[in-house]
Amino acid sequence: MKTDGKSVISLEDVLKAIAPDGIDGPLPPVHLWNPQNCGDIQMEIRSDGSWWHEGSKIKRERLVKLFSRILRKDPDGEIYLVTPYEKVIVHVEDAPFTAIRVDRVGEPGMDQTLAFTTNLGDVALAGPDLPLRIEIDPETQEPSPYVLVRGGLEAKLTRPVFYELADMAEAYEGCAEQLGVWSQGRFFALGPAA
Amino acid sequence: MSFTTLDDFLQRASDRLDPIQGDGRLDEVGDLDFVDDDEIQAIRPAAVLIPVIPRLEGPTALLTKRPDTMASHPGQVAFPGGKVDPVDVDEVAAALREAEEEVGVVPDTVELVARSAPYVTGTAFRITPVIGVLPPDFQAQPDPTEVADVFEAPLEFLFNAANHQTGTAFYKGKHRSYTEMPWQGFRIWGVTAGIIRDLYGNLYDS
Repeated sequence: MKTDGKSVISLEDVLKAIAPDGIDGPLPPVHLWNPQNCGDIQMEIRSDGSWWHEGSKIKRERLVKLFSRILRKDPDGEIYLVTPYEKVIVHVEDAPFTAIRVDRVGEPGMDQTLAFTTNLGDVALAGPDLPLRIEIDPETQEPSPYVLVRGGLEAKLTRPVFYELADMAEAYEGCAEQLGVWSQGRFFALGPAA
Repeated sequence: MSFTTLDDFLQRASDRLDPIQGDGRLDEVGDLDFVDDDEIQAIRPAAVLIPVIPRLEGPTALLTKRPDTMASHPGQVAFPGGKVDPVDVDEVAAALREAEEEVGVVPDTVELVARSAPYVTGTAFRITPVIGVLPPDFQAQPDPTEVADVFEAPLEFLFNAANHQTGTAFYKGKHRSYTEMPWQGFRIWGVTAGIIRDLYGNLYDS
């Protein structure tokens, strides 16, 4: 898309358009809480992003959203739901979030920003604070792309989103072998050019 | 039937109760027999929030104990709520405003689910119960002038007929039956028990 001076859409407009109900007030200060009680209530997040409690799927998306706001990744590498009184482990099959959409904002190239929207309406603007990373399965060589959403919690990019990203890929400063994408001045390698 | 999971509870509420906005189809319930014609003319709209908290150890409903100094229903256990004021666009707005004033609910963080049947009290209020889900980490900030105490009772307890005790009492010249559900020293009875009992009937008993 070519943008001229008059019709440049601001990042804020884009955010409003892609996540109109993504704002439910500030996130709770989960990092400040240090509950003594720790339990397992059989809460799981499967690789498709769905939430399950005691073996049944939580169908109500708003309820899942409420819970997702108190997710925290702890130094032990595990992901928990935390409140001031207690924390419970969440069995995460792959990543706690799923990135279901990517929007490119700004002039394509170094100055562009990639805005990833998760299955629960969070928006992550990739960049120095929220990096994109690709994990390669050592056996199958299958790439698994992730973007950081907040506090150590990542979103796994769905296949269509990853393909969209691959379509945007460009070579890094004349190095034809390394393909990747820019976001907020940072270059994220997607992998070697095929 | 009784309460199973929060997801199921909220689904039943969405399917079987009145929507948050628009006309309701549920009939009025409550103590209509005890309100005479004059009182019906002067009936006052009121609303309560049934604040569901998805606690990690199991979902609860938040209840308050009204101060003994309150003009109406003193000392009783109640959901946060009160009269619909001129500032309120509707009953839902009134329930949220009262819940904010009484226990510190932040209206923007409430997921509104449904309206339960209007409950007419013997004191000539027409109470619309509004079901809303609060954040799982909700911490009540009770206003001591409006609330003497705050507690939570598990939905598993409230929405199970085995915990609904019935009795009869003499009120306004007639015998009447009532429901109560004692929970950890709190006596949930009167209008609040009536609202819970009616909601239970609509969600699980039909």
